[in-house]
Amino acid sequence: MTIVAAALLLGASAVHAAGAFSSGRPVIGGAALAIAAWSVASLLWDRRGQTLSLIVLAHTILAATAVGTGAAPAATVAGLTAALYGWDTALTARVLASLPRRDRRVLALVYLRRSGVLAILGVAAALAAPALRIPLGFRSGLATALAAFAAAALLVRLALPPARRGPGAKGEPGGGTRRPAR
Amino acid sequence: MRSDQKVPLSLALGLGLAGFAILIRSSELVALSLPVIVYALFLVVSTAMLPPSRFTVERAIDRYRAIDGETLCVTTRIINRSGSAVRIVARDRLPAAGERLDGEPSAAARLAPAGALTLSYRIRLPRGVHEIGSAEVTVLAPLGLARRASDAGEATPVRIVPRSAPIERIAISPRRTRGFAGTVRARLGGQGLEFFGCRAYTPGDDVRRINWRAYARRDALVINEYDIERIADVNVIVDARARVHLRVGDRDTFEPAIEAAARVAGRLIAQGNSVGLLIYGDYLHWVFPGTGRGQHDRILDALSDARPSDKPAFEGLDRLPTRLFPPGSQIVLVSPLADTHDVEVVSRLVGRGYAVLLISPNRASLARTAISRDPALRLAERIVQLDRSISLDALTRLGVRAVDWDLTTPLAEAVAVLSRPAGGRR
Repeated sequence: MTIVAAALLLGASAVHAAGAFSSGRPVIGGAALAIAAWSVASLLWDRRGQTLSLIVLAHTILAATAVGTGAAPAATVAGLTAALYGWDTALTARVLASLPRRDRRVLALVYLRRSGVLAILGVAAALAAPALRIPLGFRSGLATALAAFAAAALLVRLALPPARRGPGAKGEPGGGTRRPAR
Repeated sequence: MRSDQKVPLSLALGLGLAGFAILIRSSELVALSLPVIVYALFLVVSTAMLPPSRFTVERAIDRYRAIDGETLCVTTRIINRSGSAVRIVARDRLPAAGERLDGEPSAAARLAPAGALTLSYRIRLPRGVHEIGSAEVTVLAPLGLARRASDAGEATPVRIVPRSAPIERIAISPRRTRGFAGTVRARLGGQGLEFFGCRAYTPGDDVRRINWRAYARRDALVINEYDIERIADVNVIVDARARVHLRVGDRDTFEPAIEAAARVAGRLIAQGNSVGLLIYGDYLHWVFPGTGRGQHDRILDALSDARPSDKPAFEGLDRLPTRLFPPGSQIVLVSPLADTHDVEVVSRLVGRGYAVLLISPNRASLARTAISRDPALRLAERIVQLDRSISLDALTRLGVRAVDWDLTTPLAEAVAVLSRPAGGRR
């Protein structure tokens, strides 16, 4: 899985670099190559995962810069998706690394299949987006923004583990009130 | 409980990118943010679908106290108490120094409610006190993207004591002995096995001890006396100063010193003596003298904890707390001896009336196995060896029984000379 992760991260860098060099932006291309080297180094030596997160952040900034300066959106979207996919694969590889070979193989295949489908969905959504035209007035726009904000808040709450949702959560330790000990 | 950092990071990335795109009114950037948002959405949904991590862990080890070199069979059962089926990846945290022989300390499985996953394996651990950590259980979400890791169960301590295979009898001769019958010659006339001397008969003496040959010559009754055999106070001192020990590759002089202390203490306890232990290095770790099998176990436990240390307070041997040792008792010092200062300290112990037995793992013998055939290195090794011989000879002349232990030979062979009562260096 580490090899797949490395291939995906390198592929993302290659897509960014190819797009940048072909559209005459050597600085962005150089940055993409530097990120490629960084990715390989972090996969080989870093064991904590923080560096991988920074690499994804760097890929996102690179992709945003490329799109902002007029690079082809399709290639950039594919590059960013590959970077995300590679990052997730590298993190999963670390969880599965301690498993016996047989278990690791089964779980890795299931994971790669599911996350591959998800990556294709993401790219498809990005490519289909320009075709969508939603006319928004002030009120509908405000309502949409509020709904989006509420959805984001709900997402964050869902993403938090149960223990961090605070005392009083149903069925969690610490729920209810307790008289302090004298 | 630990969740992946990828959930907040991907949410921040996706929402940040989308917000920035809306701010600068760039539809291309909005499109770019969509894969990240889709990914974050799936992650959040997967995380929300994760069942709670409630597991109980039952761990069984065939022994919690083993001898160095023995294997431990560990069986860990992880039982799902969450009330719903979960797919987990479970891993037992093994000590870094451990060597897994067979079996697997990790596995993945889908557990039904109250279902169990069993990890079974055999490991070998070096001397010391180790901990088989709590099991790390990672719950995988049904979609396979999100996961939540948590620690289940408690760490299990395991103590590995040094090997203490029996060695030959060790003859010691301290100035003072204790009042109980044992195997150490007390240098007092009375009832024993070894001839001690003769004295004039006094009424009440056992007539069987009358020396009739002496009576025939002197025309006066003379009786034979025999050396009384009693138990003695013995303190084994292990020199755990890092500066006196040498490490060459994966071998060192410290582990042989620990093994020597364990085996000598075991032998002296088996001979009925009251044996204590002092580990001189990191701090003064003293095991109060005692007798019997329990005392041997206490000494082995203390030795299992021993580590070389370079505390400046214990740089020289002159901080030895001699007041802990009864006057005239036997001291067994296990030390490679660093310099002439250490030799002086040992000679001072003899001066204070202690009977000193020195078992000195030879550092030069260990270095010899590693150095090349370079004549200069060989010459250096010979000089070190000569210097050491001079020091040990000086100690022998003072009455110290010194064993210069060449580490290429087994301990039993090196200390065989101690089975004879007379002093002398091997």
